[in-house]
Amino acid sequence: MSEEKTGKDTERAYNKLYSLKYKKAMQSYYRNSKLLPMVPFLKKKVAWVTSGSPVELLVSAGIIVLYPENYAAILGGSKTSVQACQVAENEGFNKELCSYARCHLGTVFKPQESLMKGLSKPDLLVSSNNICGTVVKWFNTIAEYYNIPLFHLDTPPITGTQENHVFDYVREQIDDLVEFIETHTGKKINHEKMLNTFELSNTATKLWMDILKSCRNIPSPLNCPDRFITMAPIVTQRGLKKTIKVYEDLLTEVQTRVNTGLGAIKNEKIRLLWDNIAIWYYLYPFFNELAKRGVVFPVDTYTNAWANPISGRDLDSALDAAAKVYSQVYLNQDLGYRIDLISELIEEYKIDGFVLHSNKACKRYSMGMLSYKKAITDRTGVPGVIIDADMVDSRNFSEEQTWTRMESFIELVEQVKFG
Amino acid sequence: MLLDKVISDMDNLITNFSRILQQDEFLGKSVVYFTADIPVEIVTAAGLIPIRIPSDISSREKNGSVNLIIDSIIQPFVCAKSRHMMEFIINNSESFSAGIFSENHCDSLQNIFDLLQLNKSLPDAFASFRFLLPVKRGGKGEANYYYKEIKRLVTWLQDWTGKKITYLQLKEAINLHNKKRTLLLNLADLIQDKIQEGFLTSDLFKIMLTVDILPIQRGIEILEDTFNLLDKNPKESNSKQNTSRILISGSMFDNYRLFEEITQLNNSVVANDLTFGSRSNSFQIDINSPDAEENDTDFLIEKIANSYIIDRVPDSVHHFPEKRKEYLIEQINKYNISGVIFIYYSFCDPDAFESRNLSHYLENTMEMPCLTLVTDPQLTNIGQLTTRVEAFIERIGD
Repeated sequence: MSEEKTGKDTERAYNKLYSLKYKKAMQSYYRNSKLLPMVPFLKKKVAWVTSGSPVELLVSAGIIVLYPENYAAILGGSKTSVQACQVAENEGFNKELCSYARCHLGTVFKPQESLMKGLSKPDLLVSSNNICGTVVKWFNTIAEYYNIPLFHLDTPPITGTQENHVFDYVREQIDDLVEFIETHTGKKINHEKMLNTFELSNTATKLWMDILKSCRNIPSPLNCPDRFITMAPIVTQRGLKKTIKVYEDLLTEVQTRVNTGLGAIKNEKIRLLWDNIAIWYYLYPFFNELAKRGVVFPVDTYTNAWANPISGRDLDSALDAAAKVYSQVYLNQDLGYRIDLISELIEEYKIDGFVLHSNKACKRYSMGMLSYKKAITDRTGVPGVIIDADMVDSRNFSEEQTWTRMESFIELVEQVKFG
Repeated sequence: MLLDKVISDMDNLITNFSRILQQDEFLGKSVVYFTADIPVEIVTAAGLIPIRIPSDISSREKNGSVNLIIDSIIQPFVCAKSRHMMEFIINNSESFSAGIFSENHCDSLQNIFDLLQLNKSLPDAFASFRFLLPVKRGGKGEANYYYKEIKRLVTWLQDWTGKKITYLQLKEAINLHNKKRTLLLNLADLIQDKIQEGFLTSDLFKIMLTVDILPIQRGIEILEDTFNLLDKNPKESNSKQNTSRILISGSMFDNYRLFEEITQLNNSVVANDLTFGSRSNSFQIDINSPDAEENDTDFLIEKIANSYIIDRVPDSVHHFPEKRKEYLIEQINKYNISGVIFIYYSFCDPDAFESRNLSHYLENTMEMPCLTLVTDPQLTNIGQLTTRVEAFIERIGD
């Protein structure tokens, strides 16, 4: 393996972001999640949720919301995820299971050996199968382990348009979730506060969308790792005022970059699209090595998943919108939608090629890639490549194989683009 | 008819099912589906044949390189059963008239219909319906949702066949499926305590699978014949009383050859918790309640919805662990079980979670010996499975 590809060399091919509010927001988020539940008079409850859960309802109830998926990604980035996975495997969980689940469960079983000594212990759980079916069993396992209540929001997939009875089913469960929260906090959720939380969530989401859309510019002001890292607050802290500030700040920097023609990488030549979750333990080595070759990723399907605002004139219509938006999550749609979306993004962002991460740990995101790669190329004329990896279990990743594929793919894209 | 003949017929039906599908009685009527959540009563009422694909069907006759085709469509880390079913549908797509796809049953099935379409694996005449399952079970909200999904299925079937599903047709279909379920349960009861000479656990499993791929009336005839032959069979062996009593659990596991290959399993398995076994058969749809109104089809659909969503035994995909524990403990006590074998196909996430959690629970709270086996629909690791089962049975014996 060359030193270049390990990312250890000092030459930087990218322009560093100066807006650090997202980092501070995440630091204080995790710090507060540890400290606040320990203050008795605050009576703060902690909920663990999946990334597709209607978090605004929990935030309105003053609950501290934590995301095992986000935590697993951090473990991946800090290269402690394999160790955590092994704890779960030693507890009898099959290595074939989702690595976010294994990694997080490992920290549940041995928090003392985990980064930040694990997440703060939860009082309740909320999951939704709009992102995958694994979360159902994963959260069941946590509920059993801690003997705490779990609410599951069941969202049948969208195939074309959502039928009325499907919407009604999800909408009724949103009401049930409100009741579940009120039962377990012992307090009614203030309706005005709920509406306000939706509004705050909406504002942050719109800012995030503006940030993503700014990457249509050439050169692109942000690369994949920039978005993967700065997305954390929109995932974990939707509905909070300070999240808006984080993204206002980031948008300002992004707009400055656009106005001054400063790109995310120093010498943009090729623009690619990324599909699937990041390879967290190899994030910088992968994208920085490509940046040296002038390859930037102005768009991806992963960070786009949090770009659906929920708006309503009143609480009822906001809850209606929540039922719709949380059903329409990218991974809860059929492959036709996925092909349409990626094809549109390729056109909008002037993309030269696309990289599909066949993620062994995520069947929902990866299944069908071989076929939709062909369908997208047929429709757009843009070539694609599939690389095999795993979001946090580096044992399922071959650096050499990945680079062999990527190098021949870049050659192909260069040939198509520059002749 | 001799019992041997019935059993060899079953074997023949499963092994040669691709060819049998082309027989006249199936033409224009066969509707493929793949999870036990599909209300087969509706399909039968429409005059069609619901067909659930069992494993080990020889699907390679038509094209020796099917595996290569599947590998070019689905990654190897997707559930082996899902890959197997897709392989069978691709190979036999011309023989099926329609398919009911319950893709959101699990992540390995989620995109199966889209993939078949993208790869142009389905003929133009193939009609399809995507049944959007509720993932939760046991509550009125999900039963009500499921009821509306059945109504959507009814409308689709009526549009596709051009014929209305009448009250009487649906009532008859419900009664037939109730009868089939009762016969299957009776048959299982007959062999649970004593080995019936010439009729093994593998044969029971064979019959369970076969009646899911045949027209309902034929299935019932086979069950009645088998039951009568066994009932009249004077030769009983009580050797089962001296062997280990095993409960076999696992959602989609459905390859009876496991029992043929591992003789000790044939003598030891006295109860099952499998999708095509007890989970499909241990319920009845009661349509004889006093509030029934004649000619009210919606009443029958509501009864189907309640039975499928509320009354059925809990399964690993849809039910909270507490319900599963309660159910398994009940089965363990009822059948005086001395060991539980969890078996699942590789890359099946729900079962991988469940087998770990339930085996931990049963071992720690009941000191119940448990074994987890992972395989594929073709049982390619049968040698390893045999060794592990033998060691497990020895352990129980000790």
